[in-house]
Amino acid sequence: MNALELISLNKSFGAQKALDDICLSVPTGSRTVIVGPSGSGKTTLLRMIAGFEFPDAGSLTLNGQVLVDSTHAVPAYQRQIGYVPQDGALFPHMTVAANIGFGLALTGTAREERIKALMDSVSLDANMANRWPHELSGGQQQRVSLARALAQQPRLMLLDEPFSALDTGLRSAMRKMVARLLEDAGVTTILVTHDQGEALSFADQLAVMRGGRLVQSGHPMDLYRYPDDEQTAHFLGEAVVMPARIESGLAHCDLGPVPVNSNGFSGNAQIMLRPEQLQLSGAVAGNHGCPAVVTERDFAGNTCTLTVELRSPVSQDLGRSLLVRSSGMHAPPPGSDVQLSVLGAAHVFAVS
Amino acid sequence: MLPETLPAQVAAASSASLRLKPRALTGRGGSWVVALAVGVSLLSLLPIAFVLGVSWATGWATIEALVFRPRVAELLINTVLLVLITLPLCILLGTALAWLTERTNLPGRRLWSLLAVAPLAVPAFVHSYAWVSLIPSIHGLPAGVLVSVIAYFPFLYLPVAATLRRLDPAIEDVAESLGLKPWAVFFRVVLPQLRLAICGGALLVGLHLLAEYGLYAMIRFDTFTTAIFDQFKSTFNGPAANMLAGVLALCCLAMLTVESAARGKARYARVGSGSAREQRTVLLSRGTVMLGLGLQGLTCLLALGVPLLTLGRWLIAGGVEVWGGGELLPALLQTLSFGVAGALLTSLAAIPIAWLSIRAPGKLQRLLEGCNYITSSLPGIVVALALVTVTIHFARPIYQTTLTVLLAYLLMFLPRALVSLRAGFAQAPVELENIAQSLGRSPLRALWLITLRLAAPGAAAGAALVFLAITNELTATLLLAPNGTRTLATGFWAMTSEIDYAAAAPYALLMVLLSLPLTALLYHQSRRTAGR
Repeated sequence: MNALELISLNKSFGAQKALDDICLSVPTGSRTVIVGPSGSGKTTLLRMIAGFEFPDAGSLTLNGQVLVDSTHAVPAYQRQIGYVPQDGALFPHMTVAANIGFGLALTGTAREERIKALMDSVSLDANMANRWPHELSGGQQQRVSLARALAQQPRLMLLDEPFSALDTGLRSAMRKMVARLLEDAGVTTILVTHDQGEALSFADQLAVMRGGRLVQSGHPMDLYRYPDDEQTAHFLGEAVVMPARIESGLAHCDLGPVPVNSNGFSGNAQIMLRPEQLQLSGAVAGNHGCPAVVTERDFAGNTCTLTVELRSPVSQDLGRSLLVRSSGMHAPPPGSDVQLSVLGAAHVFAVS
Repeated sequence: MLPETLPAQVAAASSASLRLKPRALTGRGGSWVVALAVGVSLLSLLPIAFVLGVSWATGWATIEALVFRPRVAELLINTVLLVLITLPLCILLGTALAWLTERTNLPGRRLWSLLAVAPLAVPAFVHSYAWVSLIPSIHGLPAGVLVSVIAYFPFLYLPVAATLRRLDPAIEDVAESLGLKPWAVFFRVVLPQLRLAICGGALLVGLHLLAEYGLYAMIRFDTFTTAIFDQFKSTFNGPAANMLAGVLALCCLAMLTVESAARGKARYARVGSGSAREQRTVLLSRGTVMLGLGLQGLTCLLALGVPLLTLGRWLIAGGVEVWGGGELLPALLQTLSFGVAGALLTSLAAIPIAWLSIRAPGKLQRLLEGCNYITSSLPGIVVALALVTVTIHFARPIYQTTLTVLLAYLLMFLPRALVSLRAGFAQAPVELENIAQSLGRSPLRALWLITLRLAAPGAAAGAALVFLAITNELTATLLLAPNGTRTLATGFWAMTSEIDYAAAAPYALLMVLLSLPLTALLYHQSRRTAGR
């Protein structure tokens, strides 16, 4: 069952096309992440779902109710859609409790208890209730903003880069807390971000936007492994892309023959491997890997990214340069001779 | 995200006014705001329409004879010199005092900041009265500039101080981290952010200079407005006064154009995250402290000491008998009721235009604001004259009623409410209104609960300014008030016209006392930043 349906949404600002024929279904209870570089139109799309913007054409339905179509538009205040912007946007003239209680219809002790419960749910200490927004840290402001949006029991929760103002450690902790909280509350969530790591980790459904168009959507793992095009591949993580000749389930490329998921396609095409699919071993004579030389080592603690150059088995000349991920403990130093082998299948881009 | 959201807001706002029904209802703001703003502005066009209509009726030959003559050139030079000398002095003084009281460790800065607002409690023509009775020979341009600066600099001090208090301190931190010295931070980062406040304040002062009658009449300095008044007194409703008013209207148009160019297109809603932190304080050296104290002390002596000493002298000289006669109390009550009603009416009328100017700046909104500025920059006597003519011809039942007086106040003092309200609205990011809507509040409720609350200090400042203006208003009240009503200002003017300075003193004292609590409130409100 889909909670939210976006059907052919279009929006232009002057000559600039902000949204170009956007179609997307968001299943009930899911966490959908819209990811894209800045200026891709993802914030416009989110604001349109919230009801702060209206499309030039197209329609939008939530749980079967039409929110916007060509003749009709439900204003933001009747949508019951929670919205948490990047900077929290707390009302500066209200205390934490007043901010959280803003959307509540309750009064008296029932109201106080609900506010207390909401503060508890976002792990805010009860004695913060009477603080002012300017006395809170960025993370605390974000929690208040989230509690405020949750208070009205939204049918849908929209998060606009809510973690980008937080520091790294806090960011992943907040992300996990928010994900768990929304899942427990059973709230369908849409998050917008430009951070692919955040997107892959938070999403059950990922939608990639570029230049106002929704270029691909699906399960994050599928998008990561089987992107439709090279740009998406690079946007979602480091990628090794090279030309190959495909023949009966094998790609013949600089790495030698590599298995592919080509569905019977044969001919010339671009293939993609993720760096973690390439495995390194020491250069042992008679091994079946592809010989290479380590040229650069980027140590990052638990992992290490190596740049290697392939050595043609025939001429011994240095060839294509590739990224390989390796455990930080056993990373060979630059200059080492290594063997490369491929785990799993390479992905073939459709020939355009 | 900025490039995405900025055009989005503009587009949404314009679509709200142009699109089909559902969009107009749901798009930010909605067409009713536009309708209200247009309504208020059309009303404010009344005096202009009157001037144009009268010019049309007069004919070109007569206009030429009345406008192109040495007397008009002389008045023009007087008025332009007054503006060109007074405005920079007011900006310098207002900004310097605001910086000293808001951003330095000057001893007693709370008190100084109160004292910098206090001169507003003394009506301009009472300042003039004080100086004339202190130095009877004082007259002409130098006297005009002196009294004008003293009477009007708080109009710059107030918005500049309020803005200084609300700037995002992080921006200054960043500037300093980019290697700017403290003075460079002030000139390159702080001052540009004060532009809106300085432009607004300067326009307000400039319009006063063009419209004030009592101040200049008393020190015998001829400006357009005094000349129009004299002309009117000698030839009731004659073409000469109307043609001078036409030239004056052109001057106001020029001033409006300059201000609008200086203000630019920048919008000043804070874009940073969360809520702002405390402002930081500059530690002054001993020498600078002395200099600062000297400036504050001298300003205080001239702007408060002189009027209070003179008033005290006349009150002692007049003794108990000037308080008798039974005319004082009714005048006080009359002034109070005019002031409260006028301030409420004007503030309410200003809300739609102020809101449009921040949330949907565009050609329409500038046109509307322009209408209001031009009207309010016309001298009170022209507004009054227009209302007299129009009510006699088209609305006889409201001729010489309180309603007409309040209408004149609305037309004359709308920009006071507008400037403060606009600055207030600029402090309330549109995103907060959006959030309130996403939490189930209708656009109107969101406006009330969030934007108007955040703009409340600005709105209160605006209402207080209007109240002050009404308690001190002279010319329009003289002309429009129903027969037999006497306010403090018209009572004071009647006494001074008879050179009975001692009998005028109680009226002046009451006007000052009446303005004091509001000046204090204004001071208090402007000190409060949101949430503190």
